[in-house]
Amino acid sequence: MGEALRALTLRGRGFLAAGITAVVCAVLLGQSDLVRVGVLVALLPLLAAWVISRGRYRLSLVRSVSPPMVSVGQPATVEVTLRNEGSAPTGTLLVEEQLPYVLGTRPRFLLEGIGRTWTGSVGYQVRSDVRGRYEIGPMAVRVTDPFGLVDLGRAFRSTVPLTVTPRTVPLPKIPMGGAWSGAGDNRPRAFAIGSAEDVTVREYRRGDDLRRVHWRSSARVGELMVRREEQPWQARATLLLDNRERAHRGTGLASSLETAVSAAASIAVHLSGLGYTVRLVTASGEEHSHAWHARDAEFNTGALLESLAVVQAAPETRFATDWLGESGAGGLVVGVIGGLDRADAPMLRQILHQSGSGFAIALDVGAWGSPTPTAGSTELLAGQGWRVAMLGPSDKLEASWQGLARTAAHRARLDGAMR
Amino acid sequence: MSAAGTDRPTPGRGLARELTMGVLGALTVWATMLSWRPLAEEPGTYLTPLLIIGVAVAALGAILRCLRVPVAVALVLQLVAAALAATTLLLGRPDVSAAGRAELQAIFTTAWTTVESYAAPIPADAAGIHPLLIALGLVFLLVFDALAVGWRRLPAAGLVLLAIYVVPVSVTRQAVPWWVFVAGTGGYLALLYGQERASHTRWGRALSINTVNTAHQPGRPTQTATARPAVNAPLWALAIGTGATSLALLAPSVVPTYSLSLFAGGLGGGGAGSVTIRNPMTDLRRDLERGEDVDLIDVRTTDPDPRYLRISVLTTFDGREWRAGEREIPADQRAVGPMPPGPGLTGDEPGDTHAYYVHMTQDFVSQWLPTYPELRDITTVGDWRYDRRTMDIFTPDPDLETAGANYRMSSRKIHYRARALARSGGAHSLDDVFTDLPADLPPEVERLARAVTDAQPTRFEKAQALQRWFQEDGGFTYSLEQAPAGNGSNALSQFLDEETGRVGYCEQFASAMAVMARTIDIPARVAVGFLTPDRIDRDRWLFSSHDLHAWPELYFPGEGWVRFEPTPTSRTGELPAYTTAPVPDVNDPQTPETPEDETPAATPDQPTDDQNQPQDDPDAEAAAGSGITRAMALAAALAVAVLAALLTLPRWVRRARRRRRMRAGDAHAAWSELRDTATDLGEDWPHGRSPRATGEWVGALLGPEQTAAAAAALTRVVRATERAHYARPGGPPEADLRADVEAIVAALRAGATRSALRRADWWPRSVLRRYPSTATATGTVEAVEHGRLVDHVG
Repeated sequence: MGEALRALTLRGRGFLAAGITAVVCAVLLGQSDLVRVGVLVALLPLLAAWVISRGRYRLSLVRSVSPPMVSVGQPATVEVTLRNEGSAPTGTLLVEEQLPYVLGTRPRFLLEGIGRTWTGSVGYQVRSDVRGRYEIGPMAVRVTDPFGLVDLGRAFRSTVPLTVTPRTVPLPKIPMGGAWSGAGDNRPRAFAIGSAEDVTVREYRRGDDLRRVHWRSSARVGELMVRREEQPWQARATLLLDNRERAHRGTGLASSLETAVSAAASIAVHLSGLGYTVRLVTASGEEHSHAWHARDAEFNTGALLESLAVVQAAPETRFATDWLGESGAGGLVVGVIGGLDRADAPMLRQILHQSGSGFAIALDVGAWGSPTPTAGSTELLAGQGWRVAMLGPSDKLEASWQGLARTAAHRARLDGAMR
Repeated sequence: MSAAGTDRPTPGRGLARELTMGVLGALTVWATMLSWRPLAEEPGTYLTPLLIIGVAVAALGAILRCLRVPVAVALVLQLVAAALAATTLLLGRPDVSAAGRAELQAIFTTAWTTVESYAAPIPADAAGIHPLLIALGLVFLLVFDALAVGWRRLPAAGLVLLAIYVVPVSVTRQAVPWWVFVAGTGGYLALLYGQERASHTRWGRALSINTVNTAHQPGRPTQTATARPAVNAPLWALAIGTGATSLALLAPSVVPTYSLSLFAGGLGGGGAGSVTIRNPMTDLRRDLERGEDVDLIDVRTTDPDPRYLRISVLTTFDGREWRAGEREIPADQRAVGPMPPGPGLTGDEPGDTHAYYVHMTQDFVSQWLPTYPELRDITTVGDWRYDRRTMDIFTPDPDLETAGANYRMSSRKIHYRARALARSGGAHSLDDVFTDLPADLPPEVERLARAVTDAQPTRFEKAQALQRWFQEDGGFTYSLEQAPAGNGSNALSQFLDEETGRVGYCEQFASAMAVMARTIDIPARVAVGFLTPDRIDRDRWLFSSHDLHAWPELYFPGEGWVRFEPTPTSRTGELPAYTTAPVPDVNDPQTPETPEDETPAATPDQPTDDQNQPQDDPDAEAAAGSGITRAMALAAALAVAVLAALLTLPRWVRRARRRRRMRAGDAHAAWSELRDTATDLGEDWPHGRSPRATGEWVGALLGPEQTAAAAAALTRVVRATERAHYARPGGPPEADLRADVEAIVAALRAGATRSALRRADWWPRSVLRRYPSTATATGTVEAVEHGRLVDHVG
């Protein structure tokens, strides 16, 4: 009752105050008809609050999003199932799903006449043009009386995440990895440099020798993992995304960072499709949750896209290099690079030194609105031995990617000439 | 598909909604305006046009709003339409020319004059005030329509209803019938509900309908629901509305207001062929003039002469007419059971008491209950109340009428003796209303009165002389047809004028004699009632509409109100014996009080008189005061009782819990009982400890006596609690712990101070305290199968 009384609306409070005033005046003036009016007006909100407070409903909510991860612009369907496990509510329930604004209008429903064991489900679609990770929910419930005198707010607490991944485009196959001769289905296997730490593990199966348990992985994963007997070759690629704030121009969807993220996502999907195990490295360093281990390509891609969905501009001015010394030495490095300056050169050289080969999509950051053209990233990268292709705001990534192949061929010719 | 199709509001639906709301609003206002019925005698002249024009204008407003005309513009258009309609109604033609305006102005001026010169209810023969009421009503209607339906400001629109409702109440001080209140309230609440419903509809779609839509369209929710019909919003609205309204109807009888003072005049519509008493005097003539003789009242009595059945008493003469004046009828003056003696009487005057069984036909409609003077007791059904000064019976309930009523009364016929009347002293303590005369009373009235009565020594003989003058000496003629209309000053002087008048019927005779008596300082009033019934059986008498009559009553201290009969005997039959009896010489030596009689100013009333004049100011105040104090005492007693019940509530709850636990007798119940006992005794029960640790804490509290036994009992209880909490279910059956619990409780109480014991008994804190529990009330989330979260609210 107290809760319902505190939930009186402005109208309800007004009625109560007016009614009490009327009764007092009526008593003083001796007008028994006014007493009637006053009592009526004062009683309405009180009765409404009492009725509302008598409600012993108990709603349960189950929400699911399918698919839980969608690409930008693709719809996802949210299915909400409500069930009344208590008795019928004494008021009308106004239900509103809390949605981030980019996901569209908030769905609102009216629940009334729902009895015990009532079950209702409602589905609605959300879509976003902005990548990111969104929480759908919680659902807010307002209980109101038929006269709008009481408005009692309640809220569920559960939410469901929805990941909106960057837009990806299919990329053409270009020769990369050690085999730049070009043609054929070249599943990369150019890794000879495996360290002792580079351990592949799998789940414990009944019958495995306990001495083979890899405790470190077990601790991380939360279930027993064992070292694999066999050490399969892995084709590895490092995707380097330049998300430094100073390396990019523009804001929001039209910024060069978005283009970079989208390009990185496309490349990640492409490389995964080729059989590479891809890890993502940003200016802040390696995404630890995606350190490479034996993963199938599908799962790897999903995790990568999820990471890319939430990549934000980082305040660092230089790339973190701590990932370089780790186990991931070697393999392919593909960079999506923004604006560079001379100070970045040593780092770029170092990366290339540790890796087998380096490809870079250099964004023509200057074209994203900055009046002052930045130093030519392309030249800088090329100067450090990377294979570079340019990507402007109006360029197609496929074309640039293809351009990378041309650069590679050109480089090969150059190499041949020098030899 | 159909769900998708009905989602979009169509223009037709909007119009239907607007029309519904608009017409409902107009009907609500009109229903509230029913409280205006007492303002004039023919309410139909303004209520019917208001209904028709109001509904039409509201419909117009709805249409305009549907065409997206701004509310203010629509209001102006509605106003024009309403003015045109009202003009057409009043003038008979839609005339907006200068002539028409002038005519309208004249109509309103006349109506205003009527308002200023008459008190409510405006009699039917006066120039009607309906133009004013129609104009006012239309303004109210339009403002309400714009506020409530146009701007959706229903709370503010409620003030309009309040104004409509309260203004006539304050003018006539007459209770508004309950059904008017209910009708207005119902309409208003329906509007409130409709508006809230519309806002809910705007909020979103109801998820209670069993619709299945499998096609997922972007932006369009799909829904499925399995619904079992439950109590829904309309029913709750009805429940809340009905509850509040019925409590509000009862409120005036519970909430004391400081006075209930009513003006005369009832209301009620009598059908054709019936007799309706609103203003007793004006209705008298109409009922007498009516051609047919309608049977009205059937009386069974042993009284051989059941004449002069009084309906009401007219106390006030304002120069225009005799009016019933004010009545003081507080709720404790219900006309049930023994009745007090009338003013100036002790109740043991010589006379005969008779019982009367009265049955009213459906044709007699009145808010006054016909009674014989000097009631001894009465049995009525309904809220009939008597006034101490006039001893007539009136109802404050506008819906209670005499039609079809049955009641029983006994009344005492006082045997007046002319000698005693002649010795009656002159000083009286009556209210001024019984002696007041209007300032513009024509002087010849008093001159005539003095001329007729100057020769008589005593007041009673003067009264006798007046009656004699009307009956014999004055040359008056009884005629219903040639009588001057009304009983005002002009009619009076015309009636008394020897050349042109001296023709009339009981109304003129009674009022003329009463006025003339007042001019010679005899308190006088006019009674309206029935004269001679037809005898239809040995002890059954039938009063009909032609028996209606008016007569004067004059006041003589010590004797009360005494009836006289100035109307010619051709009409009335025999005169009361005492009015014609010769008065013994006042100078007779057997009447030593004579000198005192002649110096009335020096003679106080006899002591018995003083005691029996409730209209004495101090007495009246005391009566009113006792009414208030009684109500307040009642309210205070009620409040104390409720407070006491509330204060002892925890005690009863605690005892009930204890009984329940002792019945259960298991470990949980025992443990809870221990916890509550300790809490009641003011100890801070440790939460979150194991039973064994808590048991040690309890052991430290045990009183000095019976420690060993109590400690053993405590150990057993702790063991049992541990088993109940931690053991695998299905273990050995629990031992009965009741005796153990009682032992521990006794030991705990033995260790407590006396004040702690008292507090534990009368204000157990365990009832008021909330123990931390594992389940919280709102918002729990739990994981269920498939890894999906189930969220709860409620």
